[in-house]
Amino acid sequence: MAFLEINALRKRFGAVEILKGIDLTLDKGGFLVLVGPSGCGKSTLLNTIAGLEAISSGTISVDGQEINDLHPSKRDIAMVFQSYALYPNMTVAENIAFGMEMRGVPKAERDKAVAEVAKTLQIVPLAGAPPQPAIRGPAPARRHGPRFGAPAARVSVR
Amino acid sequence: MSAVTPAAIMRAHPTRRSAWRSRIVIYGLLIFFAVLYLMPLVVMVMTSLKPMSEITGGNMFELPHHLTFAPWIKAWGTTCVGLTCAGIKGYFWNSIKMVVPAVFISTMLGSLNGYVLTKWRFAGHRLVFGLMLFACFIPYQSVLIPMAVILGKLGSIGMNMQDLTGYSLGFGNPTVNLVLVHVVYGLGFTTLFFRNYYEAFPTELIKAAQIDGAGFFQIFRRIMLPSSAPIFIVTVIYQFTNIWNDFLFGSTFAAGDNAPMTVALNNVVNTSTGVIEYNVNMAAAIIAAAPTLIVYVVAGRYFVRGLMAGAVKG
Amino acid sequence: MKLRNFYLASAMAASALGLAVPAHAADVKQVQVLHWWTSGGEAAALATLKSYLAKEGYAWKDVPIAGGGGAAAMTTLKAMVAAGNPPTASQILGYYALDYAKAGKLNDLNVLATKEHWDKVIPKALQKFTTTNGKWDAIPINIHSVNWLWINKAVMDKIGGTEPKNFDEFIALLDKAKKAGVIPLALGGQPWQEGTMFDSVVMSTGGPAFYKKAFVDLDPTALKSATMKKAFDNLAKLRAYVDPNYAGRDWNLATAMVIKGDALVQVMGDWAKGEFTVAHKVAGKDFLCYRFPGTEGTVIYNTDMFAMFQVPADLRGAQLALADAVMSPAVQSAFNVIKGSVPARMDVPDTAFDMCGKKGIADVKKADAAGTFVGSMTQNYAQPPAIATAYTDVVTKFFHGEIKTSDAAVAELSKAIDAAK
Repeated sequence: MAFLEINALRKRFGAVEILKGIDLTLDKGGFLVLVGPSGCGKSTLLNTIAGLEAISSGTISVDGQEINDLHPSKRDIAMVFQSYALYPNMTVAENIAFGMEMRGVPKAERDKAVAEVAKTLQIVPLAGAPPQPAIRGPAPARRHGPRFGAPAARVSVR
Repeated sequence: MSAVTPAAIMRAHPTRRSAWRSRIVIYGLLIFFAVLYLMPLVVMVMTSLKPMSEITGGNMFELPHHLTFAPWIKAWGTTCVGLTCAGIKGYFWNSIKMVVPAVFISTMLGSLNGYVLTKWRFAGHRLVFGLMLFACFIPYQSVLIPMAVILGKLGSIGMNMQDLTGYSLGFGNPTVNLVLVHVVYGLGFTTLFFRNYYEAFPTELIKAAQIDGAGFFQIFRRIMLPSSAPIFIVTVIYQFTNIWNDFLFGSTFAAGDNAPMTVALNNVVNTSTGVIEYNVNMAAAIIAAAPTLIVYVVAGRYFVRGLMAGAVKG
Repeated sequence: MKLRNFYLASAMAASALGLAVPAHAADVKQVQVLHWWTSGGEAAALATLKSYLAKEGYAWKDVPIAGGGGAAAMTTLKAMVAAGNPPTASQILGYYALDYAKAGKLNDLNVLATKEHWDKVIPKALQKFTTTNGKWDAIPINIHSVNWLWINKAVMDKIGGTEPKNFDEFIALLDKAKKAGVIPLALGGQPWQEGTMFDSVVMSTGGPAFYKKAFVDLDPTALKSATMKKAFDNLAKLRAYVDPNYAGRDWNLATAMVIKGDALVQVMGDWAKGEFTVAHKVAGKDFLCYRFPGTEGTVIYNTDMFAMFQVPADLRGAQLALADAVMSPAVQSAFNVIKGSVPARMDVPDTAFDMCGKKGIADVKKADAAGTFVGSMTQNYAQPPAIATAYTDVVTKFFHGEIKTSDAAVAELSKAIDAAK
């Protein structure tokens, strides 16, 4: 059985149907690339999987469990946003730890996890700094800069 | 920016001499208007520091010959407001007691409204926002009597609670009434400010926080509020100035012992008979204007910055 | 810990606002009075009432709202009444008192009125404003009259003038002053001041019967009559005797011109006397008070009244005590000596008053008996404020030359009054 399974997924915004019946399966450890012109529904599909958009009809299941109506935080899904979506008022370390904090992970454990992931991704010197670019949206010049480590680190501590 | 060529610089400043000339014109105009705008304040301050004999006999623009702080002391502590001669100090605190909660509550509610209207949209959010905007255009005078009726009803609830429990919980208290009136009246404006600011705030941050497991108020408190300083400053200055300077609501709903500063100042200055003590009046007027002046001086530079932030992004 | 701090802070905030203080019972021995007497002389006059009540054991809760001749205070009053929370009493204009009485918002004072025989001692004309359907619900504290001349005696002596008995003699006197190089007529060019002067001019030109017909009855033929035209012509004559800087001047600055001797005379209500008193000038020695030439024997009045509002039963005692105090001869005397007006009660002895006050008291009695005690058009005692404003509007436009001829002024006046009715 596939790890991620999407059946007849439809998403309408008012009269406009963006997702017109998506069927999709993905095995554990798999890698899925969505390609398409701007406005074709790539982000919408990701949003529905993450739970940020309610779906109009169809089902989404992860590991055999239907997650249609689960709150985003309950789906055990991590997501890197196009704009990185780093909280501009927190340091990189705080950004990485925020999700754990919300899940009620004790501070010592959070610090340990942040330290580990920072080391793995080689962003230790950045951990205490503010993630300035986040709020401005994607800019080609920094797309592959060292700051990309921050969003990556954030998703890897889940 | 680094791409600007020397030629472009040359074009912007063709010669040193004409640059100087335009500088002189610009600074000349700025100084002229600064003096023009400062003149009334200067005259007020000078008049407040003169004894009466110098005011009635002398020139308005002359510096005081005998510097005196007596008018200030009298305005603050002993001048007559109606039949009570205890100065304006009590009314100054009345205003503070009223302005601080009114500004705080209306600003917080405005930011919550803005947050909901941009990040937690619901069916009909446009209509709700439109109606709130409508509130900005309702003239004070037309809501006066309906508000009085509502406050009267609240007052009788307070009376009943007082009789039942011994505490009125603020219902019917004139200061609480004024806070309520200013919060209700200010909500349209504060919501407008915050909505426009949050409109430009990246929604992806909210989504990321949702995935991280933050709730409605956690996102508001941890993500939105810390990024809202500029618009907070704009709103606080705007609300503070409006509420502090309000006369009509103050005189209508809190006349007497609970009257705010503006009503007391009116009663000190609005004299139809007898000798008008211009120096005391000026001192009282400066005291009345001081808090808004201080707010502007302290936070003024953020004011423009905050407005611009909203304008550029929105 | 945090929570406790929060409760502590809220408790402190609550007590700071006075929310936690039970405050019901203490109010019974207290009167709350809305008024617009905030300036020195007026406040001092009102303080006599406050101290009288204090001796009776009643506290005075002051609700002053100055400005606009009571306009701001009337807004507040309206709101307080709408909220069902009216003051014990409010200073009020006659026609507003009638409005509140008709709406059933005023309290019946007949208990006191019959006992004290108010109907015998208050001029009949005033009772039109103080009673509704035979019930007393408002009380007058004073009578002002507006048909006065205030003259600097030193200047009068210098130019060798005598009291003018009619309008022509007045013009002759003004001419004398002009030749002597003083400003003959001190005037503040504001609508109500010009209107107040025109009240007297009309009385002088047409007499009390005409004044009543035109302004009290609003008789169209009287308003359009040749007499009214003549009154405008007379007003135009006075314009030649004011200084060029008169436009917009406050009335007390005009009075100051007379006090200093820069000008000979001001036509103004008796509140002007308060300014002379403050400047330590003595009636008869430093300044003279004459009736406006040709109006001797008549009094064009306005009055300051208190309306008594419907208050809860437990406050009724305090309200009656206030009414009793306002109507007591002692307060009426002390109040009016300071304010410059005369007592509304005609049985108050004139011993404490100066010669102008004594004359004022005698004039009121005579005029009331003769039926020549009439309300001032400008001061809202001949007609309600809307019509009074229309009237002063035409007068001021004529005086400032916006209406060119007296014929046009007469036409404009009846048109404006019709529109305001």
